[in-house]
Amino acid sequence: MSATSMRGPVPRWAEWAAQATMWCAIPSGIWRILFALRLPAGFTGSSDPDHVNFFFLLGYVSALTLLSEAAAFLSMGLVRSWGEIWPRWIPFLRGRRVHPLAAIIPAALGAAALMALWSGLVFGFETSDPELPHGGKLVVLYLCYLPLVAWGPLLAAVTVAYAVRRHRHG
Amino acid sequence: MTKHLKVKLLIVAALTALIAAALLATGPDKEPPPSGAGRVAVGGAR
Repeated sequence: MSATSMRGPVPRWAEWAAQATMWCAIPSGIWRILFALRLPAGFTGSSDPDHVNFFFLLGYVSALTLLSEAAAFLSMGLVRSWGEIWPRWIPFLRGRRVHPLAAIIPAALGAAALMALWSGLVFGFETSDPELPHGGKLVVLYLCYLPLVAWGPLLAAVTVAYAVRRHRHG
Repeated sequence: MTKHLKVKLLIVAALTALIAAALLATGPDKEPPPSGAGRVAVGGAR
């Protein structure tokens, strides 16, 4: 299935926005994995990752990163044909039309949750706890997590474009 | 592997290198100063 088999054209900006959501979580995911690989991320004392089993921490952050990217990948469904027709590998629903609300409601709730979770980063964050990153390491952490602020609004915009397209073209 | 995928992987690799370099450039993790510890005068007591 391709974008050309969809009902109604997908605006180019919506395509780009959906692609961009997948990039929002990449820097923080990379930071997280480098932290688990024991690069000096600024956590010391009781927050030192050396207190945690290496493989457990690496597995945990890797799973978290994969989960984030999988969630971001779902945004592509709003600009792809599998967001309109259930894919063949899904039992019972394969080939059937996706009810618009089945995509719009979860996407809208997801966008709201992401905005609630990450909007505060716009105001920066600082900690007086000496065991947590500060100085240059805090700047690196902040810059890696800052793209997450855009995830919610981008998803919201793509969700609106999907809703408009489904309303017009079925 | 498509050209698009190669470009994306290249970008991720570059980002990884950049973030790793930034973490290393900001120096090793320093242990926090002990809380409530008295100062020890070097070179003799006052």
